[in-house]
Amino acid sequence: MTGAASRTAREAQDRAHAILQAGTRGFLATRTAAGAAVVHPISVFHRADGLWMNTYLKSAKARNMIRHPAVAVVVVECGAGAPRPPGVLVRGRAELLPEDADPPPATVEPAYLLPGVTAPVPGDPIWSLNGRRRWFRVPLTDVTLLEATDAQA
Amino acid sequence: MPRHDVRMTPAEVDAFVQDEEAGVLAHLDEHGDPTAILVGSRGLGTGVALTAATARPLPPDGTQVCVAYEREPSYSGVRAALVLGRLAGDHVVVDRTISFDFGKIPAPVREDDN
Repeated sequence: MTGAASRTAREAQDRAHAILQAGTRGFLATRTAAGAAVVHPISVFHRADGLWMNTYLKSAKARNMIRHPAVAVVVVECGAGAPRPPGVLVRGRAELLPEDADPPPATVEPAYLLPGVTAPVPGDPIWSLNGRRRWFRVPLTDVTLLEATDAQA
Repeated sequence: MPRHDVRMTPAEVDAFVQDEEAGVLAHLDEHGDPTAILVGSRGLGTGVALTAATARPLPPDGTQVCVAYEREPSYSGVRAALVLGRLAGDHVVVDRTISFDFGKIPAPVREDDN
């Protein structure tokens, strides 16, 4: 890779991580028991050790992740309207965390939170509901910036 | 606590999807693992036509896909439809849909309302 290409790749990674820090609006793609892909909207929280997602253990999302941990998550920075670029694709293996796990505090507060959703605070019972909800974490090892086609010209 | 049916009717799903101009498409890669891209979407009356919204192209013809459409003005107002089917060119041949509209959950009744 040339110096310019390396710099461009580094800038793309920096931009991708800025979008992950700012955005909480995610779309989680999982593999179903029938062997098909399905994608669900989900709130995601960026932390140094990965993307944290919280869902009911009985949900289709959770069951799919437990059965087949390889997942893809698209995170967009926009809110309210249809999901558009720029965004970020994170691929990796989702880890089901212990019942008492809490996401560490964010180093950067997100710029967008769905009205009616609060950022997780360690120990807050609304994220566990007596073990009915659990945290999953996807490491940030495979991160790709998704830019609008015209933004890459 | 009573469970409310938050599914949209087929007519509501059609109207919602036809109105949306963008979504997230998921499919399985060559290893059988899920991946996803951002797509543009255009209603066609009986289905949707898609375009890649980024440099990542649409998957090949015949690929089984799921496209998520979502509006989220607030947590209690989230509406989403998942369209599952197969790609035929830039069209999705729809097998089934999954939908939810949190707006169908009645607001809690406050004591002062009685």
